[in-house]
Amino acid sequence: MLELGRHGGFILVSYAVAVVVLGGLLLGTILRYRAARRRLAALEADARSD
Amino acid sequence: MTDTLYTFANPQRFSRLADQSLPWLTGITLLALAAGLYGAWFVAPPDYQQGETIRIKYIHVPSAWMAMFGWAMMTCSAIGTLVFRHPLADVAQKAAAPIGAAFCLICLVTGSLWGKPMWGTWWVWDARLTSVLILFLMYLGVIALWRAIDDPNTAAKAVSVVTMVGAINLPIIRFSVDWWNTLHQPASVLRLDGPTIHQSMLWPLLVMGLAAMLGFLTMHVLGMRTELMERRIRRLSLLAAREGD
Repeated sequence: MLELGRHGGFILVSYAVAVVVLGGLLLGTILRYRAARRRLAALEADARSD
Repeated sequence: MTDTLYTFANPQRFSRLADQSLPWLTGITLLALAAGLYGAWFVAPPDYQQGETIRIKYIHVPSAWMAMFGWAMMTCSAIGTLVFRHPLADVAQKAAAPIGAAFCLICLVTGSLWGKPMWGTWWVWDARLTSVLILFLMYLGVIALWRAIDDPNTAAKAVSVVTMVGAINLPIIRFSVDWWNTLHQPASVLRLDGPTIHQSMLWPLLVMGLAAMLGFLTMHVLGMRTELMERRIRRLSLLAAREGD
């Protein structure tokens, strides 16, 4: 196990912040994309049926 | 080069290319990230003064680079919007803003987490930290401006002007440690006379920088593809509303 010294908490929190922020951004983008894809498919199906 | 840029001007062609390239971009990003983290944690030695706390550098510095890169990309896209009227320039601009803001936030927070054990303080109002905080606030302002104006074309023009004016902050951030007496250390990688950090620390840092860049580009392509779909949804919804009248 890597010894992080007496400031190990600061190191681990730094990496955790990066994971949370970038992970949250990526998740938000993917969810937004999926919602847009569903909405676009519905609109295009409506347009074809008219 | 102009022909190449306009080759990608067709939104449907861009979306097709995005669909094809995203799996590859994701894979290369993950490989670079794995290599960078391995180098940062198991290859790079502890610092003779800072000890293991130097590991924060491998998150903090690439985040700072990407925060500035994001605004530089937005500035180039703003020129593409206002001067060349490239059809995808404003889409690129809008997609880059939240990614740049995220990296800027990581840079500020990890900087505080690094500063507390090393400097004995979470924050100082020195030139480097203050200018990066201003960059973060500018990102938030641009994101808010995109949302405040309904019409994407009108929003794009307003945001482009703000982005280009805000670009003055980039050289201020870069040279703040040279122009003013700052607590933040001077540049040790991007210098005219070469990097001053040892190779054993430099290479993991550069690989983490590459991973951050690839991650930025991957999320940017995904964001642009989503934005194009949302604009198509808006157009179809407006058409449907008009036909319903």
